[in-house]
Amino acid sequence: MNRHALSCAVKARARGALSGHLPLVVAANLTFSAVFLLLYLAGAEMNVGNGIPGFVFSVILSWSLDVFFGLFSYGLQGIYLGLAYCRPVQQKDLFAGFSENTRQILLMQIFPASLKLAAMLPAFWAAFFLPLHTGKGRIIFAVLFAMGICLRLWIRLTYVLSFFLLLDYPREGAGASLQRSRRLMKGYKLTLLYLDLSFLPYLAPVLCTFGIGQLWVSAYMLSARACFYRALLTEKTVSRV
Amino acid sequence: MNNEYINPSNIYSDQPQPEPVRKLASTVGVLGAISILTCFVLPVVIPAITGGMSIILACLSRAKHQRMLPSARRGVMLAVIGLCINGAVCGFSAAAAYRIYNDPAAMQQFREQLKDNYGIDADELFNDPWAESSGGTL
Repeated sequence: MNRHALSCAVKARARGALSGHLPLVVAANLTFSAVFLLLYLAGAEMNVGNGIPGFVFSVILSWSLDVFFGLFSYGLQGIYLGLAYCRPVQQKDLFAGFSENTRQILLMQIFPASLKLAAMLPAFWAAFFLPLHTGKGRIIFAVLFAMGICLRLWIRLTYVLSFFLLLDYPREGAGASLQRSRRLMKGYKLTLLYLDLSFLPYLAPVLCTFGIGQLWVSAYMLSARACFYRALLTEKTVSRV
Repeated sequence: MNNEYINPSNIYSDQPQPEPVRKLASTVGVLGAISILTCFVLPVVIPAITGGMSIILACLSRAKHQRMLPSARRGVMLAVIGLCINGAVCGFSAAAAYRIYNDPAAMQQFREQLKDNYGIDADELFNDPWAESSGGTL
């Protein structure tokens, strides 16, 4: 199946899974966004000073929040996977990460979060130690920054299915889920990128609604990702048989 | 009975204001805020939010059909046209305001019109506290 056909099929399935459950998922997204915003604002309020020590502290804080939010992401992705499997889901499932597999989730979130941080380290180094007022310094910083962003995207696409795998196979643990996600996404990273980019036209109505519409659009996106995971699992299983 | 009368000069003075003046000032302020909200903000914000939401919900409600229902498609078309008109009006107004702001002669004319027609001194009305050190007002 080509990229466009797979993307259309997955999105149609996602719309089917969401029908009748929009209030629940929008409320879950709202709770997730509110907690995310509150914690980031609380982090930003901490006056950590200027210079390298302040910057290092803010990076560590951002990394810790990234790891902590794995617990919420696990619950949120569990809701969408449940809908994709036509299982009954509840609002309280958003907090499932705090009661089940907590250690595994945190361990699993540490690895991609650290890789993503490492991808940006050369750009951070350039920002502090290169003379950015010169043309050469600026070019080196821009190249390193762009490379860091591309690497982060690649890491995200590689490990995006790990929570779904942990939800489906909780006994296999964090390491196995990350490894399976890497294997599953082999050859399908661009397909997922195509699927994600196909939501770009929704940016216009989201801007018109001053961001309110993002709650619905992100529900659609996450549901599509859960359906993509299902389709990929089926395709890989069939091809192995 | 309270015999205090409203002296307009009291509104701008540094002296503590008598109660009726303060009440009047706050009422006028609230009315002004409501009129600004209903005349300028809401006609832009409400159509934008409802139009945007109608587009998103219509796209989401396609269920398993690949094509949207004709009635939903018409609704989306109307929302898109409405949003385009809304955007064009906002853009035109912003461009006109920007042109006046950047043209000293037009700005002077605007000040004079404000003074002559409404008795408003632009220097007092648009006093920019951030630009005070450089002596700049609008």
